[in-house]
Amino acid sequence: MRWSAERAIVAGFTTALLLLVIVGILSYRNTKKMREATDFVQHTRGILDDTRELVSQMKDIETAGRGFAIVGDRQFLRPFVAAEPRVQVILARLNAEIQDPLNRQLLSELTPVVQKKIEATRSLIARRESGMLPAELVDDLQVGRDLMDHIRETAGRMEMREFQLLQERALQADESERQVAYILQVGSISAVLFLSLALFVIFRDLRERNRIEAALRNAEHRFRALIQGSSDIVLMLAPTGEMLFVSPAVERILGYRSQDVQGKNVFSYIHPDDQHLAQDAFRNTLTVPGFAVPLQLRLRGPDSSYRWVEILANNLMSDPGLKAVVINARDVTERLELERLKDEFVSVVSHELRTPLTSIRGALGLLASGKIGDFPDKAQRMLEIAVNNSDRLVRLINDILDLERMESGRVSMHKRAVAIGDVMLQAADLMRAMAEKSNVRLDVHPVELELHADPDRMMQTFSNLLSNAIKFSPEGGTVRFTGEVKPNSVIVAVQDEGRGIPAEKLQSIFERFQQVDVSDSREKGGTGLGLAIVRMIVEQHGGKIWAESVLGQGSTFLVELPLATGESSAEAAS
Amino acid sequence: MHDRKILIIDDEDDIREVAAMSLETVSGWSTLQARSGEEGILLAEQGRPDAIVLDVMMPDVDGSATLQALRSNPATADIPVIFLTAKVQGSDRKKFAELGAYAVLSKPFDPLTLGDQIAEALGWK
Repeated sequence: MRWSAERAIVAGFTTALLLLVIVGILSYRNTKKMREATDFVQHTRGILDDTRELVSQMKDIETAGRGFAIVGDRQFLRPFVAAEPRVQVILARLNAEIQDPLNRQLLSELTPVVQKKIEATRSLIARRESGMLPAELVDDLQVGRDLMDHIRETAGRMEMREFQLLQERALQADESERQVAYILQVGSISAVLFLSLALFVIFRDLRERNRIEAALRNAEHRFRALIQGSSDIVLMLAPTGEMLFVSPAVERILGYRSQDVQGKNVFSYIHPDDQHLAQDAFRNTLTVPGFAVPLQLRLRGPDSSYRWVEILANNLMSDPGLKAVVINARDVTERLELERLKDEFVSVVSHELRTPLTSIRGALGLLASGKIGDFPDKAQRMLEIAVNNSDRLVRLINDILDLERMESGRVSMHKRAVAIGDVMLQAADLMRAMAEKSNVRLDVHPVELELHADPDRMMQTFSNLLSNAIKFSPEGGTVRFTGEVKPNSVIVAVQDEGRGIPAEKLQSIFERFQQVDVSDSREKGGTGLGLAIVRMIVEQHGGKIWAESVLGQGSTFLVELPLATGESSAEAAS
Repeated sequence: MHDRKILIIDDEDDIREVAAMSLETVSGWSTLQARSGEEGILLAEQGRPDAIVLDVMMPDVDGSATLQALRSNPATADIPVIFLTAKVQGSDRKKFAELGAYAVLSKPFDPLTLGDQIAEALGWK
C-alpha cells in the first residue's frame, strides 16, 4: 500500500506521542520504584539498626546483671534500668516494622527469649540482692549466657535475612532498571527508525507531489495558452446549454468578455432562425458520445449584430474530468461573405457571359442550319465549327457554375428514394443517339435497387460517364454499363474498350481541366470539368468514384454508393 | 403549326433579333419585339400576341414586375408568359414558376428548337 505524506505524518506523530506516553509511564514507574527502593533501604537499615541496638542493649543488660551478680554494686544496675525500657521500645518497633514473614517468625522467636533474658536478669538481680553469693548464682549466669547466645544468634539471623532481602531488592531494581533501559533503547531506536521511515515517505511523497504539481502547472499553462491562443472560441456546455467555460476568443470574435457570458445559456445567443437547428444538433450530440456535428449558425454580439460561426461539437460527458460537451466555434462570417461574394460573382459572370453567348449561339445556329440561306461547303464547315464551339462554351459555363455551386454547398442534393436501375436505363436512352452516331454498342445491365439519392444528379453522373466512354470507344466497340449490389453499397460501372488511361493519371483525371493526353475528350467537345462534377456529386452522396484501366485495352469507371446514406445536418435543415 | 404571334421582351437587342429570327425562320411564326417591360406591356395590349417570351433580368422594371403588371392588366392577363433567363438553377426555376409563368427557358437557347420548346410548354401543336 502506497503511503501518502498525510498518513506518514499521522503515523509518525501518533507513534511519537505513544512513545512519549510510554516513556512518561516508564519514568513515573521508575521514579516510584526508586522511591520504594530508597524507602526499603531505609526501612531495612532501620531494622538492622534496631536489631543491633537490641543486641547491644541486651548486652548491656547482660553485663549489668553479671556485674551486679559478681560485685554487688548497685552502680552496675544503671545500664539495666536504662536498657530495659529501650529494649521494649525496640521490640515494639521491630514488630511494627518487620514485614518479611521469615523475619517475623524470627522475631516471634526472639521476643520471648528477650523477655526471658530480662526476666532472668531481673531474677538474678533479685537473688543477689537477697544475699546470695556469686558462687551460688553460677547456674543463673550460665542460663543468662545461653539466652544471650540465643539472642545474638537469632538477631544475627535476622540481620542476615535483612541483608538478603536488600540484595534481592537490589537485584530486582537492577533487573527492572535494565528492562526499562532496554525498552527505552528499543523504543528509541524504533522511534528513530519509524520517524526516519515516515520522513522518507513524506519527502518522497512531497517530491512526487511537487513533480505532479509542476507537471500540472505546465500542462495547464500550455493548454491555457493553446486555448487562449486559439482563434476559435472553445466552449464547454452542460446538458442544459449552460456555458461552463468560454475561452477568451469570445471577446475578439463576438465582443463579450468570457466572464460576462460564462454561466449563461448558449441558446440565448443563437439567432432565432437557427434555434431549431441548433437544438436538434445539440440533442443529437448528447445522445451519441463523441459525435461531431459540423454546423453553421449565427451568434449575437453585445450590439445585437450577428456573426456566423461554424460549430464542431464533441460529446465528452463520459469523461469524468470534463462532463461536458466541448464546442469549437470558428468565426466564418468573412469566409461565408467571401463565398457569397464568389457565388454572386460566378452567378453574375455566368449570366453576363451567357448573354452575348445567346446571341452568338442563336445566330450561328440559324446560319448553320441552312434556314436562312445556303453556304458554300467551306463556309458551311466553318459555321459548324463555330456552332460546336459556342455549344462547348455554353457547356463550359454551365459546368463551371455547377461545380462552383456544389463546392460551396449552395446546391443541396434533392435526395429521395430512387430506383437506380431506372436512372441507369434513362441515362442509357439519353446516350443512345450519340452511341449510334459513333457506332458504339451500349450494353446495359441495370441493378434493381432503391437508393436515397438525387435522381437528376444521378442522371447527370451516369450520362457523363457514358458520354466519356462512348467518346473513347473505337468504332464497333462496346460500352458495358452495369450495376452490382454489395453488402453495404452498390457499385455502378461504365467500361469502355478505348485506349485506356496510364496508371499515374488515374487519380488526376478527376481534377479540373486535366488532360489524359493530347487527344482527349476535350478534343471531342468535353469541358474538362465533367469528371470533377461527377466526383463532387458522388461524394455528396457519401460515395466513392475511381477508375481502373489497362493501357490499350480499355478503362472502367466505378461509382460506389452506400446503401444507407447519412444526411448532414445542413441538408436536414434545408 | 398554326401561325402564332409571339411578343419578345428583352433589353438585349441582339438576343431579341436572334430569337425573332429563329421563331420566324424555323417555326414560321410572327414576332413583336419590346426592349423594356413598359414597352412590352403596351405592345401586349395593342398587339394581343399568343404568347410572351419575357427576359427576367432587365433594368428598371424587371421580369417579375412586368409579369405582375401583365397579370393585373385585364387586357393582358390571359396571355401566357414564358420566362427566359441566363440564371437557371433548380431552385430558381421553382421560384419563377411560383410567380405565375408557364415555363422557364434558359439562355443560351437552341435557335433550332426555341419554337418547339415554347409550343411544348404551352401545350400547342
